[in-house]
Amino acid sequence: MTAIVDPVTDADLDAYVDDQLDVARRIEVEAHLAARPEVAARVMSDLRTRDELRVALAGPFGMARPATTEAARRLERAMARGRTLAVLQRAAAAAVLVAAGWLANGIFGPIAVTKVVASTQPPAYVEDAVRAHRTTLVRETMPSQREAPGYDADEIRAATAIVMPSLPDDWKIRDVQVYPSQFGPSVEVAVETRDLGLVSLFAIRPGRFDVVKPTVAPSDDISTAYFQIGEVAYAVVGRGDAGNLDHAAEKLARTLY
Amino acid sequence: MARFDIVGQLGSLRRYARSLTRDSADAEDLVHDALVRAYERRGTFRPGGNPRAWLLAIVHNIFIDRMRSRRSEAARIEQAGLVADQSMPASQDHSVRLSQVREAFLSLPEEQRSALHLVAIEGLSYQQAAEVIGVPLGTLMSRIGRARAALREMEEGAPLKARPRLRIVGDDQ
Repeated sequence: MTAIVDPVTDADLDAYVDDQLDVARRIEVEAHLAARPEVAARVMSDLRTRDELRVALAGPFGMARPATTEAARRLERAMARGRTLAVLQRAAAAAVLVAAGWLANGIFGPIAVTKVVASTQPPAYVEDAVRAHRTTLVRETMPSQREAPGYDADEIRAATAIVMPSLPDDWKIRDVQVYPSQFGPSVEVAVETRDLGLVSLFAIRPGRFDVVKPTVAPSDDISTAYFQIGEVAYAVVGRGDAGNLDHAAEKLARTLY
Repeated sequence: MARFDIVGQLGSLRRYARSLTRDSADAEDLVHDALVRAYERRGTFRPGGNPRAWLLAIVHNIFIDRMRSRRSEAARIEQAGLVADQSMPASQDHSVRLSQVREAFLSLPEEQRSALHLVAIEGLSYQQAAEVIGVPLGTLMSRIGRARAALREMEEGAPLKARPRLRIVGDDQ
């Protein structure tokens, strides 16, 4: 090779053979090789050796014993059991939480938070909810995007096992969407309200059991008030004043108890 | 609930064990013992981790433990060289070439052999392979580099049969 400063090193060539490079770096290496036939020949020879090794070492396992397979099965079963146990532990922890919530409810009266609680880090679904709400705002401006204003809380519960809160009478439903998410179907309801403007109400399965009192997560122009009861979390997203959103969330939460 | 597929990893584990021990019977013992140890220490598996990398690491650790405790036997293994069972009914030329490549690979030092095996045969990423062996990423990469260089050297010094038959035209002068 010549003495010019060259960013493609031997380590890059090995990484190329081992398929460890992203496509951009692959292209750089390939350009480098295209200009250097003798290096390219070496790389091709390395690739050949690699493939031959794969074939040469893939041979049948003549000495395989049933005891080994049995050990593998035993481990497999034990690990599946371990996982079930972890789920049960989580359920037990959730039961404690619910009991604590019940107790708190009894002592402090209905869970009703009046002041805005600034949480350290809002859960991940809040960000998703804000993003979905922005999409709804875009859809609003597009006449081609049909809305489905039919809202049947019982039907939603039957289809998704999510109990929707009862909405205030002056909330006018614009759109209802059920969409898939990692832990089961979620629901988005777009509502036109008098004091909060266009608001999205989400019912999401965040994938873990929890009881969270209404909490506000303000962001730039769109705020969210969220709460969780059991496996379903609810988020009210809108442009309105964070305090008002919190108030609305609190009212919705009360209809679920 | 996704099931852990351990039985499906047996091929991977046996291949790796065979590259380490260079003997089918020893490899089978190694895999069996690794599964027993994995069962005892199943609590150390991180949820969401890669079960294959975890098991390969256990195979590796047991092998290293044995190497340390059986130095003299390691010398025997060093001499034993080739794995007995032949593989792949290929054409005569190919099988000669394949057994040479395999011989060259199996004569590499253990640390280079394991690094190259995990990456080139099992397709692990450099990061995963480094974790399995328990060395820094840079160490793994330099082992792979040295393994490749050694294989290349052996190929150049290999008997005539394995040499490329093409000559560059005009090379005769």
